[in-house]
Amino acid sequence: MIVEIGHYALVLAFALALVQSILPVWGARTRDAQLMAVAGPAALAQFLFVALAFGALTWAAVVSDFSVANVFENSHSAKPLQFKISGVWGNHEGSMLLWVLILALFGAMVAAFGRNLPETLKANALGVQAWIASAFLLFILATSNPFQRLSPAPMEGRDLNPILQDWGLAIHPPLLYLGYVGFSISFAFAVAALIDGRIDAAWARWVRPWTLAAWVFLTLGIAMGSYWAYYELGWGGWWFWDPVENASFMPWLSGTALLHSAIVMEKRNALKVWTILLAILTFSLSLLGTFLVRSGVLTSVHAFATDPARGVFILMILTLFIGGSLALFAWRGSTLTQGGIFAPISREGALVFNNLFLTVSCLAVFVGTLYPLVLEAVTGDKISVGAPFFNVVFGIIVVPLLLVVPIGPFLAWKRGDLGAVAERLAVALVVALVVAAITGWISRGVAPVLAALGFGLAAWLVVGALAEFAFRIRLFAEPIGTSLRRARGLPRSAWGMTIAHVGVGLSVVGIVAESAWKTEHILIMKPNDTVEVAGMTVQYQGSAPRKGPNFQEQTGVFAVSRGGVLLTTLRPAKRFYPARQMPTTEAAIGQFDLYASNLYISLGDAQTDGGMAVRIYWKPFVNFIWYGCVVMALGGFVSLSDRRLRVGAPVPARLAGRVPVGAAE
Amino acid sequence: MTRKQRRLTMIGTAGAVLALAAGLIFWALSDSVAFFNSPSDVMAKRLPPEQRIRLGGLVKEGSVVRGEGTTVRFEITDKAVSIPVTYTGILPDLFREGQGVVAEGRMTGEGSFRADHVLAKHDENYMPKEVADSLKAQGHWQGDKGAGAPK
Amino acid sequence: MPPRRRISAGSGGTVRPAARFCAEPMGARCALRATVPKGGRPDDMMLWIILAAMTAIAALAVLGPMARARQTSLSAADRDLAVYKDQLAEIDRDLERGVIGLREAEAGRTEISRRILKAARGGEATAGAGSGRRGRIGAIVAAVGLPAVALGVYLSTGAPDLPDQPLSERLAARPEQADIDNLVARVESHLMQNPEDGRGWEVLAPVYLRLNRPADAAQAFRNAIRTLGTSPRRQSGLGEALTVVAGGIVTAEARAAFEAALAAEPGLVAARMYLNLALTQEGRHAEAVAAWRTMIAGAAPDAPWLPTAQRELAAAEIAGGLPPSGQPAPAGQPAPAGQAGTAPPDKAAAAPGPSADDVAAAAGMAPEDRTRMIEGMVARLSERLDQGGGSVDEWSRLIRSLAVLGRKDEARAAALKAREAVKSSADDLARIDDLSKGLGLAL
Repeated sequence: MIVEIGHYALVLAFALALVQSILPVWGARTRDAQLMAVAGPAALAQFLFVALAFGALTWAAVVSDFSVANVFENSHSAKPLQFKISGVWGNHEGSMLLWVLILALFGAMVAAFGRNLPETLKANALGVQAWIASAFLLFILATSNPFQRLSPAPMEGRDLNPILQDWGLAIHPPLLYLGYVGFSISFAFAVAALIDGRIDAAWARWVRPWTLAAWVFLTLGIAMGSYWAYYELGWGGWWFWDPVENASFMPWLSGTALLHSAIVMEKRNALKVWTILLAILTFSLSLLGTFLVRSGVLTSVHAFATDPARGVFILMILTLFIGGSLALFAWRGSTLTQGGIFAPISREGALVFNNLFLTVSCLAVFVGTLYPLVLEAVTGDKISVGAPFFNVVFGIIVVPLLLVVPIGPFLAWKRGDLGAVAERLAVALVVALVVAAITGWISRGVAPVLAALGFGLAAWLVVGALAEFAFRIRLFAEPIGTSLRRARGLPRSAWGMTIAHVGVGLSVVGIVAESAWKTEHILIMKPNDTVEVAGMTVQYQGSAPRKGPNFQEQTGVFAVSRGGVLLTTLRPAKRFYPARQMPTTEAAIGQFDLYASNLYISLGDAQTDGGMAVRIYWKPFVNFIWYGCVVMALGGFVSLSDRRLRVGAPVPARLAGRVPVGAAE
Repeated sequence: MTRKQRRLTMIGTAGAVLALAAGLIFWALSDSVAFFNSPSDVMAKRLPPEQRIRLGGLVKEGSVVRGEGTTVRFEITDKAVSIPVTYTGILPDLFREGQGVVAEGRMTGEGSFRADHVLAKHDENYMPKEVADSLKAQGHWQGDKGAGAPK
Repeated sequence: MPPRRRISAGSGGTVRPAARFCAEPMGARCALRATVPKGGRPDDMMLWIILAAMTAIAALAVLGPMARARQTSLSAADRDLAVYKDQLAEIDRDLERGVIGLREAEAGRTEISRRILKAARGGEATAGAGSGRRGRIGAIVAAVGLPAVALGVYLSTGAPDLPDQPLSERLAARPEQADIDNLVARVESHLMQNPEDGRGWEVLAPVYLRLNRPADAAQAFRNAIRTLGTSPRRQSGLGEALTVVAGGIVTAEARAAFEAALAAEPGLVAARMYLNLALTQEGRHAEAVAAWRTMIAGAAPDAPWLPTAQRELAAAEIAGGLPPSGQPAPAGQPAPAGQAGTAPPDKAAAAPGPSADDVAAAAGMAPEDRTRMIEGMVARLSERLDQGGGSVDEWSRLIRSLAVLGRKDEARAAALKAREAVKSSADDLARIDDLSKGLGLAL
């Protein structure tokens, strides 16, 4: 009965979404308060019912109700409880349900916290949100219904795929979806503004927190996915420029651009049309990501069983929403009045620069990802675009962007003064040059240019961001107590910006250090063989079989020592799940330098002569990549907690220009 | 500068950056694209050794030689032609005889293939799309069995 | 790995996948089991009451706000003013709590005041509250349209008569009815914990094969071989399972298994038959004919597999364009398995074959009875498919059976009908075509 209640709740949510698609938008057109009032409660009820459906499916998985086809195919009574639960979204149907659940959650949040919103904007935005919800609920009900029943029910489920039983995979999709789907709010607001033909600075204020929230989750989701690939695949790589990865990275790039352009719009009432377009593009790229992952049109290293028929359905949704919103944009975009004007050297100018380069880098990833599809459709040639393309193109585009990051915040709105900025950034510049010189010299035999450029850039980013903060609180210019008070008085969004920019710098440190200084050893080791890695001695002490609950493994034992002192013992393993005849590689990761650097060992094949193929990586400062992402997300979170974001009243620039504290952003 | 001139400058700059980026993209694309080939294609085309390709097919049963050093040897077949492949490194977990696989690398002069990447997916039913297509073209595809067919 | 049977709800959402699962393992037992977990009456009533309550909540979520909005019909400008006043109050609150500075608060107040002025100026342009007509339409949508859509969709996709079936309850409720699935499940979970128990795998493997879970069977045979070592029976079983997985094609891996089995026990009939079949499938017809002839020549006259062998021989001769041998090939006499538990290759391949009981029954019959029984089954299947259509599996089975019975023209006709019936799916079409080609039917 619970299962059927869940199924019916899903159907009801669909019916409600249809109502919510029509009545409020109609009401907004005719200024009918009665119809517009439907939007909020309908959105809340829709969320309630989707949540009920999701709960019912989870319940079915937990109690192993194999009369539900989805549970039968993706679960097993012997699974540990946490993986029974995470398995709910570990498959296609369940993950689409999670997608819709999050969509409904965001809609409900707009309904609940949107008391401040003008009636028509709220009605239109929730109406547009309901269009998306209707389309995806129909998709689920028609092609991927998780509540299909089996009668008679089988006695045991099918799936006990060991590689999917992992905490990383349990958290990764919800985070990623919170990001993807969060951008639907910006999209809904953008389309609502187009329908309304009205947009002002306050609009940006309303959109910004939602965009920021989505961005925070997407940042964490991508970082999480990257880390999972790093420790689980046993290849030691953390980013493969794989289509599935790119699919999540593209909305991140354009979402980052959107975050920044919304600032310009809010503060200076400029870049309106562009911001609307970015909001549309960002969500379109999220939809595209969903399509790429779900349709299997591109070859990817990531795990998803795919179904082309569903791909076609998603492609239709994609075309409808992207085409429709862009057509609406072309039709109505010109009715939005253009805003203020500014000099190229100004805060706005720097943010436009940021947007330009972020968009272009996104375009590069887009071309690299979809070019194979287009080419195959046109000429029938099957190609793949390799990582070198992305490394070169993305690298070249992103370097100028990163160079400007510390400069932008120092520039005043409207008209900036580069000379003054240079003065204030002198410290950062000196530090960057010194760091570049030192690191270039250190890695003179390996990759001097990359290391010098990369570390110099990272230092420039970190010190630049901190310098701006220091300048703002007048550190060293006034007594330390005054500075601290100023720091406390700074708006949270200013803190957020500094933290996020430092995070970018930290990630750059990790990326550059990993690329320039990593060492890789693939070798055959016999027991008691040793190898020198990064000044440490790694001794292979042999391997022993071990039996786990439902697997057996061959564990290699490696003693890591420096100067005769044992530092740690690493135990990579080659696991084998006999019931499914499935091998997995369990890499062992040793943490060094205060959890910054990794010694990464994975096992290959046992040799006929008693040796063992071993792959050992030394990855200096690699953890900074993910620390940086976490810091970025933290910055976003701090900024999100800024009350001003929700008040909806910007500080006029002319006031801000005079008062440094007020210039906070 | 007037308002209009400023706007034009901005648009001009943006256009220039875009054009540069487009140039960069296409220059880099022409350099780092790998064409997908089945073993039959490779035989038919006589590819030059410097060209990077993706070679896809099934891992020929009984062809995998492991455990003799860090280099693994196996053959990729489309049931008509088999190409010997060498790969130095550690194979993905789901690399198995009889399963679909995509290897990326270059042909050596002697008609064998040196791979620097080997892809096999984490779904045991996975068959890379190109491999499925080329097997269909060769008539070795059991459409109804889905990706799990060639066991 | 088990081949994933995706249950696509598709457009014809009314077809419950239950039917497919039922058809596959064993027709007779299925009907019996389907009746077991029927929901009790009170539960059914309860479900409908809850569904009705949910519908009411959904309708109220739409109707409620509409009713309330009528009572407080403000103009849009009034509403905007209310929003702005709210914002002003929020600034005061934040200032008090020290979340924002004095200056920012002032700036914010100025900005909001500006908006209030603007809103007041634009006030006259906005219309009032809802018109009665629109309100009525909205109410009808909520009260009629919403339940109609919900019920319509649910009745076409849902299964309100199916109760929940948590595993623990099912296991507790009927230990005495521990049917074969249940036993299999128990053995499976035992093996999940003790994957090294080779005997368990050995017991399970042929059961899987009979339950038409060939992929699991293959895995189980492999596990048995791994833990207990190789044996002719295990190898032969593995080969058979692999062949069934591949839809009746003797794959290279299967062939290797059969060869291993034969090497250890040359008299293993099933393995030899599959190998001969492999020759035919590879187009090595002359060799196939020779192999079959050798086999038949060495057979005892009452060997149960003889008719199958003769039929295959005839098929190989026709396929290879060779003159038929003098051996009488008794058409329409598809013999049962050469060995206990092994079905003839081409029958095993057609997924929903006759049930194990049918085969067992057929084995004990006189040849002519057996023929009659099989022809009767084919006739019934043919009639059913003609009238009501069926899955591609069923069509394949019919075509195969007709071809096996030597009724090539009818097989060809059935294949044409099947193509018509499954034309919406390219995969299914390809399957029918492959099958026809494999059976030598020119379409």
